[in-house]
Amino acid sequence: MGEFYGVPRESTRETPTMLRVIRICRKCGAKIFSDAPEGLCPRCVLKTALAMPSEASVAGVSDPGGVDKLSRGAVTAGPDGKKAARAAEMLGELGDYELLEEIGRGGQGVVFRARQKSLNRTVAVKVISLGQWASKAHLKRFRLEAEAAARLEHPGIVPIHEVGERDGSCYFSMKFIEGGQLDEVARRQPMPIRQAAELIAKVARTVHYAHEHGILHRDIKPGNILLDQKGEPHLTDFGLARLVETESTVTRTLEVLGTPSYMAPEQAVGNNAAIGSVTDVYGLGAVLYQLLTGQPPFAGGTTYETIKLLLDTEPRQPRLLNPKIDRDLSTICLKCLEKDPKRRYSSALALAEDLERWLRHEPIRARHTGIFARGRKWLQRNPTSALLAASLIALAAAAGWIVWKSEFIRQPVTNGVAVLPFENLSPDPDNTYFAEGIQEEILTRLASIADLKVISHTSTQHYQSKPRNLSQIAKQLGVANVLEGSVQKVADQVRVNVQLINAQTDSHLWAESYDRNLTDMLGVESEIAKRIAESLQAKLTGREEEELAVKPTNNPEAYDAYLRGLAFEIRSMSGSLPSSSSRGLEEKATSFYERAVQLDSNFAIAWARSLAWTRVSTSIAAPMLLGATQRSVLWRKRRNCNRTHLKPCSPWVIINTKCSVITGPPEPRSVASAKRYQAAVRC
Amino acid sequence: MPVDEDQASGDQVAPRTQRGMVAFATTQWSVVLEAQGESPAAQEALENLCRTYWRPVYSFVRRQGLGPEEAEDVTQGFFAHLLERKRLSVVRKEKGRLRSFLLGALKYFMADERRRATAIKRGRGQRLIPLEELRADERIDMEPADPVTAEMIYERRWALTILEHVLSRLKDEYRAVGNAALFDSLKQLLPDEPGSPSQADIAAQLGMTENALRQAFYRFRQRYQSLLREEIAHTVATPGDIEDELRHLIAVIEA
Repeated sequence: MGEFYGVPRESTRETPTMLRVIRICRKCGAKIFSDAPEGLCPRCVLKTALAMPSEASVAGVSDPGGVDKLSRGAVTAGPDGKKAARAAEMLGELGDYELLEEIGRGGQGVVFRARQKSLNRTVAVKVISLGQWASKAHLKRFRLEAEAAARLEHPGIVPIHEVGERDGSCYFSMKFIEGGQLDEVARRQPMPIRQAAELIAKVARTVHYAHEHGILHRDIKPGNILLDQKGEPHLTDFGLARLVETESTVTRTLEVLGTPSYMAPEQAVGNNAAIGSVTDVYGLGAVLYQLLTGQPPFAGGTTYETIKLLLDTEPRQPRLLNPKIDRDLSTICLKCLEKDPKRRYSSALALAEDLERWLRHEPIRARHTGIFARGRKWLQRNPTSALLAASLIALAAAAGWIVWKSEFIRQPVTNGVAVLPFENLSPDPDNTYFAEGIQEEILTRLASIADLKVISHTSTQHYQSKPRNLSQIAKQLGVANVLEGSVQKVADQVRVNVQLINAQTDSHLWAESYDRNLTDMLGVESEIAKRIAESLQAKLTGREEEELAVKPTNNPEAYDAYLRGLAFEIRSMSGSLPSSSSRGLEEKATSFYERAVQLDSNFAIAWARSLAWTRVSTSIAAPMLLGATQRSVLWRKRRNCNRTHLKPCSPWVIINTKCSVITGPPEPRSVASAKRYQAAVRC
Repeated sequence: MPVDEDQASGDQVAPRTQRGMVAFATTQWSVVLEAQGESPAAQEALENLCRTYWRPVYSFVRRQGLGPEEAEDVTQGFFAHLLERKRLSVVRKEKGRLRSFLLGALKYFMADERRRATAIKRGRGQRLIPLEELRADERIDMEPADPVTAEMIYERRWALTILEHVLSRLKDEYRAVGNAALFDSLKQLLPDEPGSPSQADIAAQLGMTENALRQAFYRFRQRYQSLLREEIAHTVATPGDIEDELRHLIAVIEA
């Protein structure tokens, strides 16, 4: 790990703070924080990498000398931008206009701030390339339509002064609006809701004016709405989208128009016949949505994704994105964004009037779309998906019913716990007995708690030394919780790590690490069992608490012998062993239990196990030493026991569960041992 | 200071991969996945990855409401725990991306109170990750003040770390051949931000012809794209995930 120290700590890194904004990106408008690498806009820099290498090659190596005289940024502009800028450069001063600086760039061309020499005024000049397919007829048509748009006279429309063409590129000069594009302004400072509604109402009236003069805008978006210094909106680029769209493929259209986030569905699918005044109503609604929520109605990572969203999904309720938005205003906005043009406002004027009603706190005309209407729309849009979904639901319901009836699915028992074999981390492999013994002891104590379902050792031992997928194990055993742990014993020092895990949620309910001397280990199992019971909120009866509190022995040597006996007992229960081996292990277990009893004659559980194994191995039943009542209890408990569901675990039951058959009156091995046993079970 | 145009052409800036191709065979995360963390090479690869991507982890931990010191300890402890485990059994289940794996492992680690307690001890002792790079003001500013989730902070920090690493590598390559000034100029062109110095301005400033500068920038951008894809490749399982991961990083930054 030493090499971590050798990390060069260059101090050249900018101090990365999370909250300090150092500036706004002039390209995308995003906030740039002080942790931005090299102070660059991370968004724009990452997006640069999205461009395919072939696109990047447009930059210049493949076109040496072609664009090197361009003004700024031409390198990364699309082919239209390059050509437009080249035209501007080649024109030098572009006729009567002295180009001063580039103030905007889009898919359609480049906008310059310019000085009109003859009138000595500042204007904006937009240079547009129509691409390589532009014929003379096309250029003429562009000119005619641009001139038609130029005839619009409205305070809310940026007036066009002059239209011209040069070398396959068209240009027009227009009034220079001091202020900025709506999206830039809105990004700098979020717009209050009422102000947004007022603004869109004004723009809608402006759009209606243009519609009355037979001109559609077709590309209403925040970038085409300029705000002057008083904050008044001015629409620009009227009809331009259509000029560029004409005689072009849909692909080309998308490329030219750039982001389709504000595009109406009928435009996105290239259905020119369906495009009308309500297409602009959609655009107005999309801009309103942007102002209210801070994001366009649909925005995917790519043009394709955005169009797919636009065609296949409904916009999210504005109120979900900005709870301050009034329900009526949200309704107005969503009515504009209806996929079906017939369901939108019939005109921009109708939209403006509804917005003005809202501003005057009057009832609006638009109706809120209910959940059923939304469902119906979805069905209409996706009939195949709806059919498929209905079939799947029916199938799932049928399958669910069958499974339910067949009790195929078992709900895991929430108060159930499986104690998995503990891992032996001791350096000495001979200490495996210790881990096995501790695990068995914990299991035994947990099993004595009636409110818990504890999986028996027989069922859990299969998971020894296999990779553990806890959720799968829990599922197989039908319990929600799993206890796993490890034991490390070095000389007299013992470390026990245990963790109780809810396998359904893969979360830790409780975990603890016990570092003890061997002599202090006695009673740790009880403590662990108690903590597990608490974690699983199991209710303990007074007797159960007492039983848990009892320390089985105070003699560490007896305890050690007992654990060794347990380990042999566990191994003897493995079904894969031949009966002779199993018997050998049982005998070893018995001898260790007897050793434990020799060391501590009051070691009740050791006594019980010793006696049980003696009985099994000698086929002699022992409980005749008990009174009739005790025997009755023992029998009842034995009946209630089964392999996977251990319950009471007193010494009696240990004897009982180990006995396969009790055939007759047992014969005590000696009266003395019988008395010691009775004394032991009473304590 | 004028820059030698031959140098600026960038041929010797760094060994470059074929256009659009990313050397994936030795990708660090895929090495870890393939060996399931058990080979020395996989351990080394994982250590390298942890050393690069500790910052998102630290940001996440801080966002959980931990103080700077405690967060440092938990971060150290987390990586110590991750690297000390010989078997990395979790890796077997995670055939996905390093970003998701680390976040999942971190959540699991933090949920485990016992480990956390030991991790604090462990972290204090070993200092595996150079957290000293955190400046004082970062510690202050990363206090939970924004209504953003720890996951969002983690994701954003992840994207920035990748970008930071890539630009740092690119800078080192240029610096190694004495072109540090060229790097500083060309990087401004990368986002294509209006109002930035034009290529003509930069060419004049560096005493280069515009043609030479344009070619230098072309190579600069190609190299940047290549390095970025290479770095992302280090964190995903298959080459097919690179583009998707890149889009994810952009989406994270935009969020």
